[in-house]
Amino acid sequence: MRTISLTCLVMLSVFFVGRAHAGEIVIANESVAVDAIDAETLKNVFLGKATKLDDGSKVVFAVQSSGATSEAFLKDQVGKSPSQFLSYWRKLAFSGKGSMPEEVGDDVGMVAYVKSTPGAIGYVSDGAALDGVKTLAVK
Amino acid sequence: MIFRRVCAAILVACTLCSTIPASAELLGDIQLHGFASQGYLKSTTYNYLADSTMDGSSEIQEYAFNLSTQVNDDLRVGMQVFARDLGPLGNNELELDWAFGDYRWSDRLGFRIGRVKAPYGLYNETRDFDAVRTFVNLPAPVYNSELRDYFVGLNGLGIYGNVSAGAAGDFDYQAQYGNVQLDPDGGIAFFFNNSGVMTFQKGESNHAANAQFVWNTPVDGLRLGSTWNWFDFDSQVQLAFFLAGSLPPGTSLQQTYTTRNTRYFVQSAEYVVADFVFAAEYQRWLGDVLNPIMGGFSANSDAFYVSGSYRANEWLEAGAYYGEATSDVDENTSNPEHRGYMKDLALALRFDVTPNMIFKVEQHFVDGTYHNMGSINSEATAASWDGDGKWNYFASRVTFVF
Repeated sequence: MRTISLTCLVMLSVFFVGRAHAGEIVIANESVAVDAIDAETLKNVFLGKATKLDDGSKVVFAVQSSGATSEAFLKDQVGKSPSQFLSYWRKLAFSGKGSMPEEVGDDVGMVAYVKSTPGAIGYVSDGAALDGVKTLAVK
Repeated sequence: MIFRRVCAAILVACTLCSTIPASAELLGDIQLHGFASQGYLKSTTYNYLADSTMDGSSEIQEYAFNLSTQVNDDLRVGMQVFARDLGPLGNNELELDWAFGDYRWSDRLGFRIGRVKAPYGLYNETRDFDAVRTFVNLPAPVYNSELRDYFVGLNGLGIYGNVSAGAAGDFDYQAQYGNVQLDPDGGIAFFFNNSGVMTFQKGESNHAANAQFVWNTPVDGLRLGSTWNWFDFDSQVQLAFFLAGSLPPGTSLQQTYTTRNTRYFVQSAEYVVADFVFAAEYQRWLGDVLNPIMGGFSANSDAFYVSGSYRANEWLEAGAYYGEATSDVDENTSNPEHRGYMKDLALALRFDVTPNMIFKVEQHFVDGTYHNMGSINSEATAASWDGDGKWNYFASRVTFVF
């Protein structure tokens, strides 16, 4: 019984590693030292409230300009719809208290950005080619 | 002429930005953003914000242009110029909206030095930028356009940060200290000019301070805020020459109104759930505006609103709010009585034609004229204070943003 439970636990852990939610994967530049990020920190990174990870390293991020993956990620992990997210960042940009996030067009653009930008994190759809980037588990 | 100056300034700024690739390389990426907004307002019975009765008014324009850059991991600098024409206010004079250096020592503590946007409720820092809200203007009972000068920005320094409270959520905070200068084309100047017996010359705060705490609660999308603003002001006015005979001998026509210990408190709540945004804010204003010759008054007013909006799809948003403002919470001595309060029900539609172009229409049903400027409702204009204080207005606005 314990073996079955342990197996189920391992399978669940494997399933959730690197997945922000069913369908989206959080990816990071190889320079990012951590392998997991807690949901609150992930949310605060995308809201501009956290610019450093727990180990003190600088973190930057990008968003996909449109699409189902982006909509799902923003709703599930940031708690905002795309229009709410855009308004949030425009408020910061037009009050001087933040700069608009880097935008990429799709999964390919996101992987390219994260791969080439030290400290970068982003998200892609499940099944995207993850060449040269690492995945982050969301705790 | 003034509009041409604004356009010329923006053009110069754009040109400068396009000719500094070497600097950009040194400084990192420079972000450029701006907006241009044109409004129309038509009211019944009383003028509001502009000469809005009769054929309505399109004397409602706002423009802004900003640039900012991340100098290094911790330091960011930027500035924004802004101009507006809102009936008698602004007259499209270009002003420095904000310009500051922002050093984020850690996510818990950062420092800003320069001209900084001041907090006042949850939405004051972008009160001039309608693209980030459902409504044409922020709810008028709490966000009085006449008092914009008090809250638009502060020259000085500030601290800010975000502190985690574990399972209890986290807190955003900011606090600023410095001084505020009043715009001679702004609402406070018109407040004095509206009396008909004096002309505003200049106004400057000796001290101004503010603080804001926002609790991002463990309930997803719910945040609760509290803001405190405090000022000491000296406003220099020139009394009308016809008063000279009624003043004590030797009294100068140039007088100073001291605004002492003025405090604004705003309590705020916002709940974002799915495609709905609900908000409610309550404001108190306390303080004294005094002159030894002319007397003055003690402010003891309050205001509130509740609002809700719903995003139906990519291009359509609908919203409504109801709010009230009262000039004196203890006793309404205004004459006529409807000058002492405002009750405002608004219904709004927002159309995102593209991500860069927004069009809005809005209908208001109002009781009371507390926030209607006297200078545009005098006997000399089409509207006056006759009537029972009930009126309506329609507002629309189109905004381009990049």
